[in-house]
Amino acid sequence: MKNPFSSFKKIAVKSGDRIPLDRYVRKNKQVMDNLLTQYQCLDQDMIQKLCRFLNQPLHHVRESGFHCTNKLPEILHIPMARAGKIYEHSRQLIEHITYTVDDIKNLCTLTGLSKSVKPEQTGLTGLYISALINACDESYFEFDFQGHQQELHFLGFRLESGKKIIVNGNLGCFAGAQLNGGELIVNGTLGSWCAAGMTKGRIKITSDEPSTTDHKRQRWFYGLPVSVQEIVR
Amino acid sequence: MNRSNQTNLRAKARLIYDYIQENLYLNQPDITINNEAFNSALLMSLLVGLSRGKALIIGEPGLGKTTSVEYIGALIHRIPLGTIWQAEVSGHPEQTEEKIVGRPDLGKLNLGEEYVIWSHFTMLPIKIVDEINRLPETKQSMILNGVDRGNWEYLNDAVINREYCLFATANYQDRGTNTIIAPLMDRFDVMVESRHPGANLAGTLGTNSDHEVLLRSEKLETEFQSALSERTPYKERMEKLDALSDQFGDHLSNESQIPSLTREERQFVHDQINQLPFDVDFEAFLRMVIAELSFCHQYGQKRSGEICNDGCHFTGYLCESTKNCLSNRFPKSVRNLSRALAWLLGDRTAGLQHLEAVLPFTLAHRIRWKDQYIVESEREYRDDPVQIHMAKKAVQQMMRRYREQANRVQQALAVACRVAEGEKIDLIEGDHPLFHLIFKDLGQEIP
Repeated sequence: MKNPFSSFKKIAVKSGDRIPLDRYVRKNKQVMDNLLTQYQCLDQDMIQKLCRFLNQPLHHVRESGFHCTNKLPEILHIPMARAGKIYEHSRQLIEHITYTVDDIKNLCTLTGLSKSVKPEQTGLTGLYISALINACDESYFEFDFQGHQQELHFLGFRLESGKKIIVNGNLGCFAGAQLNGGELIVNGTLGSWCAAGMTKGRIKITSDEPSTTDHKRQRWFYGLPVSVQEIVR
Repeated sequence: MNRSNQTNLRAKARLIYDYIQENLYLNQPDITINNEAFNSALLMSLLVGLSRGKALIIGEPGLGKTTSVEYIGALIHRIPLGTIWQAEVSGHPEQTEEKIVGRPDLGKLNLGEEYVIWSHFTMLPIKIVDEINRLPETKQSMILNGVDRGNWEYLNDAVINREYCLFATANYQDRGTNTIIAPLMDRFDVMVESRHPGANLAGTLGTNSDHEVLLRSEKLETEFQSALSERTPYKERMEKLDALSDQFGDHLSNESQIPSLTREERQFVHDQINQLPFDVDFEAFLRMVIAELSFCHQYGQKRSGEICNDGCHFTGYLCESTKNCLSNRFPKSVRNLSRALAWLLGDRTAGLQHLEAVLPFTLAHRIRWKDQYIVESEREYRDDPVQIHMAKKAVQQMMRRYREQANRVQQALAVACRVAEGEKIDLIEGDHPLFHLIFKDLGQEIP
C-alpha cells in the first residue's frame, strides 16, 4: 500500500523532547485514573454523613467548647469514627496502586482547582490524600494550594511519625486530626476542629499573625486562639 | 522552452491580467498575496484558464460575470469574441441536450446513417455556460460528464476535449433560478464573486473608447464558424482552429499590441504548473483542512444525512458546523490552483500563502453549513456573499489552529511516515481530528 505520509519523510523527528514527555503524560494519566476510580469506591453514605457534619452552622463549633489543645469533645466522637472508617477503607483501596508524590500533588490540584465540583464529591479527598501520604514511601510532602477554589478537609489525618507535610495555602476543617507523630506545617489559614483527636506530633502555623479583629475572632471561634502558633503533643 | 521563455510566459500572463483589468473589466482589488493586490474574480478566472479548470462566477446581473470570462477566454485561447458568443450556452428551462451537446444530422439520418453534429460549445476549448442556475435541475445532469472530464456523448458518438476550461455564471436566487445540484457544484474548482467596482469606477463607464471591439475580427469569426461547422473528424477541426487562433493572435498583437498565448505556450505553462512542488506547510495544512471537513467522531466520517450530537469532544472544530463531507475533487482543485498561483507569482514552490489565498474560493461552494451558522453569519458585517464570507472565516480559524500547532502536526505526520514504513515508534497524540485520523489510518487504537 502507498505510504500516504511520504511527503513528510524529510522532516527530522525530534525524539529527545517528544517521546519521554508523551510517555510521562500517558503514564501519569493512568495512575490518576486509577486513583480517582478507587476514590469513587469509598462508602458514599458515610461520606455524605460526614459532609453534612462539615456543613453545619459554625455556632456548633463554639457551643461544643472545642479547643485545639484540649481533649476531643463528645460531639466529635461519631464524626471522627466515621472519618477513621473512611481512612481505613482508603488505605485498603490504594494498597495495590503504585504512585509518587507528584501523583498526590496532581490529585490535590485536580480536586482543588475546580469550583464547579460538588463538595460531596471532593469534600473528603483530604482523608484519601492523607491515606496516600501515610502509605507512600516518601516522607516529605510539600503542597501549594494557593489559588485553589476548594479547601481540603482532614489533611494530615493520622499522619505518622517521620512524615512531614508543608502546606502553602489554606486548609479546611480537621487539619491534623488524630495526628499520630507526624509534622504538619501550614503557611495559611485553618478551618475549625484543627488537631482534633491528635495523639502525638506537631502542628505549626507559620502564617502572619492575624491582624484584623474578624480573623482573630474566627480563630477563637474555631478553638484555635491567636496565641497558639504551634501544637505539640 | 528554456527558463527565459518561462519568465516571458509569466510576464505575458501578467500582461493579460493587467490588460483586462485596466481596459475591459472594471474592478477593485480585494485580495493581497505576496504583498500584491489582485481582484479575486479576475485572478481566479485567469488561474482556472491557465490550469484548465472550472469556475463558477456569481454576482448581481450586469456586473461583468460573463464578459470577464469571455475576455479571459479570448486572450488565453486566442479566439475572437464573436466565436465565443456563438458557442456560449444560455441557461434557461427550454434548453435541450441537442442545443448544448450535439444533434443528429437529419439528412443522413433519413438515409439510415447516424452522424452527430457537435455544437460549437462542445468543440471549443473555452466553454461558457451563462446563468447556469436557470437550467432546471434535471437538465443540469446532462452536462455533468462534460463539465468533469471534457467528455461529451451523444447517441453512440463522443468527443473528448484535449484541452478545455469551463466557466459558468450564476445570478443570486430569484423567481427564475433553480438550485445547482450538489454533484455539479462539486465539479467546479472555484466559486468567486464578480463584484460592483464602486461608484467612482462605475461612474467612468462609457467615457472611454470600446476596447471590446479590439477582441473581435469579423473575417476570422466567419472562418472559425466554417471550421467548426465542417463535417471532419475532431482532430482535424482542432488543427484548423489552432491555425485560425494563431492568425487571431497575430491580429491582436499587430493591430493592438494585446498579449495572448499560443497552444504550445499554453501547454508549456500547463506543464510548468504541474511540475511545481508543494512545501511541507502546504501538505500539512491541507491535511488539517480535509480532516476538519470530513471527520466525524461519532459516525466515522461526515455524511449528508447524519447530523452528529451536541457535546462531542471535537465541538469547536468545523466538523461540528457542517453537514456534508468534502469530496476528493477538493484537494485536486486546491493543488491545481495553488500551483497556478505560485507559477503566476514566480514562486518556486506552492506554499501556505498560495493555499490560504485559494482555499476560500475552493471551499465556498463545497461546504453545506448547518442552518444556525448561516443565520449567524448572514447578519454579520461583511464584504462577501455569505458562502464566501463563511469560507473565509473558516479558513482563518483553521489557519490559526495550524499556526498554533504547526510543529506538532508536522512531527506527527513525520512519525506517521516512519511508522508506515515499519519503524516501531509511538505516534504523536494531539487534539485535532487529524491526529485521530493518523492513528486510524495506521490501524492503531486512539488513546
